[in-house]
Amino acid sequence: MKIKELFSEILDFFKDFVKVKTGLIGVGIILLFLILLILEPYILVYKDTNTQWRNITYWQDNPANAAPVWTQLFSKDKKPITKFIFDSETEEEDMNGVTVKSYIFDYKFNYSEAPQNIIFHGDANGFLGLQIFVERPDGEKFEIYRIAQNFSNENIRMTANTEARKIAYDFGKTVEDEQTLLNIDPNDLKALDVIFGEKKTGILVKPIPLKGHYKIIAKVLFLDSAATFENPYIVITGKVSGLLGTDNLKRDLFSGVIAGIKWALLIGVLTAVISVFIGLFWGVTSAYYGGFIDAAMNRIYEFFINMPMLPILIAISAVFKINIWILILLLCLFSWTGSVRTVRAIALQLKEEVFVEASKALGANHWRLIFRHIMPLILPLTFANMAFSVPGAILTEAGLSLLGLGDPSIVTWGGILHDAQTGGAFINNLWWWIIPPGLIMALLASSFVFVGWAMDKILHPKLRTR
Amino acid sequence: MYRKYVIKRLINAVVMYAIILIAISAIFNNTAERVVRQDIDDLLKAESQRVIKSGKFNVEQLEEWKAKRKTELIHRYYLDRPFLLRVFYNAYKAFTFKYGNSMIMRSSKGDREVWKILIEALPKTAILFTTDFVIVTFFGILIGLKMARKPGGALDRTVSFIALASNGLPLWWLGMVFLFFFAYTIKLFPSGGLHSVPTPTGFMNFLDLLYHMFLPLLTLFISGIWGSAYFIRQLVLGTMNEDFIMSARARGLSESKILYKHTLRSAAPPIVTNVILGLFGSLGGAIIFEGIFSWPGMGNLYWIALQQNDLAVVMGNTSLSVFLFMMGLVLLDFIYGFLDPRIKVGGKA
Repeated sequence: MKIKELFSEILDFFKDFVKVKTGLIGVGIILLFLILLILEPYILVYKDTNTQWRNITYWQDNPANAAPVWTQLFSKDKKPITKFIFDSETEEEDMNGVTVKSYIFDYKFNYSEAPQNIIFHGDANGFLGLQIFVERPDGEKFEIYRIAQNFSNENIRMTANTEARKIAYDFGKTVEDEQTLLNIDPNDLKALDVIFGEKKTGILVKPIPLKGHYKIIAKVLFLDSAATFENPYIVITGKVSGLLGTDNLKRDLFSGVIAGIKWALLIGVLTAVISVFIGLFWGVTSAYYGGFIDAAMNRIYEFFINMPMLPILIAISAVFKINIWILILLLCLFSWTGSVRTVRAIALQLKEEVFVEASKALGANHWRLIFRHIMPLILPLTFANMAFSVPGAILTEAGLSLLGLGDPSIVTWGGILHDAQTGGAFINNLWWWIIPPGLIMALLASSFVFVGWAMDKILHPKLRTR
Repeated sequence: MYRKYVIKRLINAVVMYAIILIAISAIFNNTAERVVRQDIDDLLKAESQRVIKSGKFNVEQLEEWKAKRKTELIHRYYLDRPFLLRVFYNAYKAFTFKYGNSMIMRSSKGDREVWKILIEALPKTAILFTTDFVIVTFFGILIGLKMARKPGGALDRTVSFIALASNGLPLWWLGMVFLFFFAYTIKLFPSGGLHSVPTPTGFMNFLDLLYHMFLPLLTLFISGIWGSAYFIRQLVLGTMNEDFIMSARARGLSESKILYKHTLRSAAPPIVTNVILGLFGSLGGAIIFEGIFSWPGMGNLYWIALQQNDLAVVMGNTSLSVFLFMMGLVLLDFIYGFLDPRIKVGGKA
């Protein structure tokens, strides 16, 4: 019987809830986030985002500061996207007793800008000589990398380096006049822009991309007989990457934003639930006992109300390098006060009710009355409070992370924004680094406000205005 | 009767203020001690290097000198007293507004007195937030009254919705976005600070200030106006049901006269409360917000002092902010107690 009653009550609540449009929007957004949360393992582009966020080598094959891919959708001049090329033709020859293997990769280039970099990967072992060339559609050939080294079974990674810049400069020198050459600092030159540029005047100043089939040739010289080289592939990093671009450390921001969802939800919901329960207990107890206990509890409540929360949180996290769980505890410590007043007011009325007296007469002790009879009655009324205190917790944590005081072992939106602030997002005009994390945070936080507001409207009809 | 109420409220506030100072002092003292010990070790290392170079002492003498110097330094920074004593001592100092001298930070004139550093930052926070409160309240009243005229109308619904949504909007992120767009993309406004570097004088100085204040103000305005309008709408709608409005209507007064004269006047006290509370609360500065705009106010000062481990400034800053906030509360209670005799009776019971 009791369960049936409860069920019908819940049903009534939902019937009311559906009428409040704002609340529905809020629930919709929260559901969307929950779906994203469940699907996280599938939609994360980089599966190890959660553990490898601060590991630079994990992200090394992405372009840095690259715009989102979809920005190219409506523009005529397409910027190159990152391309992995695993297929290669192999040629083997013998050069004075040394085996030389050439891996030839085909790259079709028809973009309006040169790629950011060419990266060559392979598993090397033993004493090897490596040379990487780029052969252009017009027949010109550049050597962009050269090394001879003793490797011990490692995955190697090679990119165009300073040597390539010099070669590119020498190439450009042949077509530029002297006056322009004087104004050019070879150290500021982007080698790939020249290598992928048309060979005519202006190549060092404003290169025009040369479209067509490129060949990237990796020559491996087996300098000792035991040396091996396997699994060669190249990565041609583009100028656009992923759904939300990359940051200055080449991290995929879409993965970062998705990975941040669970932490924001965890911090917000856990803090809200714990602190409202503390507030509920506090309000009921002080109202129930009254007298000295009430006065003492009220003083403590006042103390927390007057404490400046943010400065103290900042000071504590700056000194102690706290992790996420301690931060949640601290947030609870400062935000349980939110619901005390309403709870106390309602509890003051409830304790005069007949059923309280009846239970007392039946021999119920104080704690039983508080926990079993009064608190469950008030609990539903605090749900609105719960929803309302979620945004505060989320935004406070994000604020701390923004200052660089967040838990360094997790990916949070505030942390991404902190990196944006310190990593030159402003100066380099990387809007995709600043807007999405904050926007998604605002969306999540305000959806809880909507839900809280709708609940408030239903649960406290008295407060309704018109 | 009123005097009794005032005294009671004042004692209550003073006791609470003292307790909060003790708590803050305990939190910061723990920090302060770590920092100071670190500093002492660093100093000692540097000094002993110099002593070794001068070659005056042999090894034994050096150790002896080191130990002596260390106790001397520890004594100087009160680290040899019991923890509780230090906490109370610092709380007492803050209570009497003796914030002492800073360790690293200086005021623009080079003073090391914490008080002078604070008094330099306070007006900068005050000017930003006071201007914001004036503008937001003014436009909030305008929009709120418009909303209350047609509750449930298009304007009312839109603004109410945005007001709700703005609760989840991080102010500092909005600041970052505006800064990004206005200062870096279209380069219309400065990227931070209070004045241009060769600070202009006279009237140009004022214009320069406005120019620098525009972006932070815009951010505060955009994030605050909706809530303010909604708050005033609620107040006005609440008073619209009162009898005196009905009688005004019965007398045939025009609707706009009722709205702007009668309703607004009776809704004024809560508006004033809200403004005063907000103002006193904001004087402590917005740490993150001011940081984003490099606005040299109290919040920014707090953050910089914390980063430089200048605990005297941190402690002074926090105590002063709490003091101002609580003073605002007390002041409000006084005004209300004066205006509404029922509160006094309630206070006594």
